[in-house]
Amino acid sequence: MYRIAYRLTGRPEDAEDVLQDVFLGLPEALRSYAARGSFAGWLHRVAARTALMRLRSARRRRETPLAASRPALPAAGVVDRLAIEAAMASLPEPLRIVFVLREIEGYSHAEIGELLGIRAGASKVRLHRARRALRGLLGSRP
Amino acid sequence: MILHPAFSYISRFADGDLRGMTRTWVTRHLARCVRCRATLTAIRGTAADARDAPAPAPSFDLLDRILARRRAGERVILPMADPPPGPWRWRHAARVAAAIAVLLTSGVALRAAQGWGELEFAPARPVRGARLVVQYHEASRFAGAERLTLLGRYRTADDSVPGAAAPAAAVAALVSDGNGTFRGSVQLPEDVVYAAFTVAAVTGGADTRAGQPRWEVLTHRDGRPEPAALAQQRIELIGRLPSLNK
Repeated sequence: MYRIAYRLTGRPEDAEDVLQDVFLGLPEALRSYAARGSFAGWLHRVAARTALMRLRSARRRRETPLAASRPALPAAGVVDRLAIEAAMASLPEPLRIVFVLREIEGYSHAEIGELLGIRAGASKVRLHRARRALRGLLGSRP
Repeated sequence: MILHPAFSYISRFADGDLRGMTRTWVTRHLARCVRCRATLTAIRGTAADARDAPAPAPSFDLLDRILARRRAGERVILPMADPPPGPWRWRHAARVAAAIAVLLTSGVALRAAQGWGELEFAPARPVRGARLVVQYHEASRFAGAERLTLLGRYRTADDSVPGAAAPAAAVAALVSDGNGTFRGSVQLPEDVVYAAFTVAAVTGGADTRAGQPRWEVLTHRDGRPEPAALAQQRIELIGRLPSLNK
């Protein structure tokens, strides 16, 4: 849960806030748990929704993360997981969210569409754009 | 010269989204193109690396903070439902409306430029079954004529397919008052919500050239266009035939 919250919000402090909110709201939220599918999957989705809600409210408040809180891109040629992490963090938020949900968390485009309130086709387009942007950021690697 | 697939094609191939001939073409290309194969491998590799990239560990006191907030009786309402579909539908509808407005506006401008004259209806906001008084201000192409024919095509609320509506037919005669205006009237059928009209000379048939003007009438309720009329207008726009006279 912490991982998806971190990947979506892009900031450890926000991820921790999401996690706190999830645990504090869980007793109430469990009443609406319909026991369909796995509990872990349900919890995961609740965490994703909470993180996305936090992002949306931050956007409404026009909060922008401090540049220092984003990892800087490593020197050219040093392409490893850290570089991918940094490149992902520098993606525009709509692209990063779709990339995280699809490529890391394994959600389908239909599920991403439901989570974000967009069409599945729009999710696909954002994924291609995210890959293209990552390719540009990582040099020869997409 | 080798034609390489665009990046988006390779990206869609990686997702299994390509179909038919495009998929065949990209598959064959990948089999012999090292560069594009490397791109595909990199797309998959980046995803795998992103999955494996370590996330920072949460603070060691996170659990304590959660428990402290719980002890303080704090509760949070979590979002249990996905957000409603975004504003794209409204944006899409706005784009369609803007396109329709541009088309209609440009149509008016073209008509004026081509000397088509102007057709006016009263009342301007008719209800179903209304009797329309029609005035046509003479266009240069009809100069000297004493009578014109008003052609109309009607659509009911049940016409769901473009072109399903009745073909254009002569619905009224417009008589010249000798001062450049032709007058007449037409009765809208009770079930009609949308009508498209044009004017033709009595002899020699209507002008069937492309760009022939059309004047639309939508039935109203409480001073506003009926939703069914707007729907038929959209269907008509989509399936617009080359000429009203066919």
